[in-house]
Amino acid sequence: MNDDYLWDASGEPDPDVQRLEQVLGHYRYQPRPLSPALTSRFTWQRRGWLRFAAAAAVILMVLAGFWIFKVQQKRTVDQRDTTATINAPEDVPRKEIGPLAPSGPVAPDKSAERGPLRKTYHRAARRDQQPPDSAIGNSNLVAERQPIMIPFIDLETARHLEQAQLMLRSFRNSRESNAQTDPDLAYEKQQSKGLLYKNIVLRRDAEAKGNQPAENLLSTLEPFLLDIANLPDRPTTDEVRSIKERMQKKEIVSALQIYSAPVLSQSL
Amino acid sequence: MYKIDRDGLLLVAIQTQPAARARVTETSKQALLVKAVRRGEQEAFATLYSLYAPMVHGILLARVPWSEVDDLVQDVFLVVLKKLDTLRDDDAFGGWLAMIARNRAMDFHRRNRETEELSDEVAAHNTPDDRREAAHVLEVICGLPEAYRETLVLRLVEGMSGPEIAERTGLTPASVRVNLHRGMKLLRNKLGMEGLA
Repeated sequence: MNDDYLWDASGEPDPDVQRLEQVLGHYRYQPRPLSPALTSRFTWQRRGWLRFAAAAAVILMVLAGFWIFKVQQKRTVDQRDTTATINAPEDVPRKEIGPLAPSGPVAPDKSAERGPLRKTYHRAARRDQQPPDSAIGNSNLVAERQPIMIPFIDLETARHLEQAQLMLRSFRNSRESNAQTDPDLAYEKQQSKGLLYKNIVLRRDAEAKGNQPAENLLSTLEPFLLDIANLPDRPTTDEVRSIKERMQKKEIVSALQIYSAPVLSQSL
Repeated sequence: MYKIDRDGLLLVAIQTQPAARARVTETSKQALLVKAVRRGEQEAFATLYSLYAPMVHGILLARVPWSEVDDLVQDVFLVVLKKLDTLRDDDAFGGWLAMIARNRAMDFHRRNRETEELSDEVAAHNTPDDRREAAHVLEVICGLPEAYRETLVLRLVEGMSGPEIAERTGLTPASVRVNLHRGMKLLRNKLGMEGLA
């Protein structure tokens, strides 16, 4: 039998094959346009910029998420530090300061030297010494951009604390001489008296308002103001050194700066 | 630079000599089309689709009920688009596509194993005589060994010639010729016993 017709439809037609072709033609493939499922894939493939935009959006979202995470982490560390500082002075025993003592150096308050407040000051001092890449160093960086909220220090108290801090710095930097007192100390003594009266007023005000953290802070500052204001006209080197050592021990200057600076920067 | 005509012919166009168009060989034509599809050219895909849809239709028709074939053809070409990057040799596109169509038919039977289908024989009771005869012949063809049934469907249903079947499916012309000859012989015997309507 000649299979040419079956092979390529050439040659003499085979009636059986022709009949089968005719019968089965009902099932033949009917050309149809591409389905939307197929064309949509091409639309997507062609628009390369869409893929690029999608990839860019994903990258941006990841970066934004990372940035938000970092900011929140820094805020958490910051808040933890602030909370620790705020809670710290609560345990310090309240000290009632009477009127200005007549003369002579006031003995340092031993109980005030110990306790949580001291820890707070140490922490603040350490924070200044931390390398910038540490976690606490980073929290300081945030503090520069976003001042720490200190709710218990009002503007007037902050200004007072800043003045006290400047006066204490001036006192701390005074030269020690065996022969005579530094002549500049007279100015510090006079300024300290003014600050002492204001400190008493502010402390009592804080006490009346139930603002215990501010009261404790001012109570800590008061002995120093008292000691400096009551220095004799010609104080001995030991008297001056004793006050300086206590200042260094309690890190009162750093503490005053920490509490006053954020409030003042916010007011600006 | 290439251009695809409406009738699916791939032409090489040279800008300096527009008249100098050379028809490239069938194998390199499909390879160029595949490359164009990879670049995301829908027109090239439409051409490839129109060239190979009858083959896919025939392969599926030899394995699954006729009512399901059209949907499965679309499915097969969707798989092609998804997996085109895995095709290493563009010249082997036909054989690769035929394999995807066969696998899709097998998947269809796996998924529909437990569902009871309305067989073509039952469906044919409600159709005119021509349809009933066509369903009967197709049923007989589907009862033949796989190699014969696929080749016969492509030849008798899709109207493809032997060389076309060989080129599209990736089989050798000799194999196709043998399959056609032996398959037709078996079909004649079966239909001769039962007789054509």
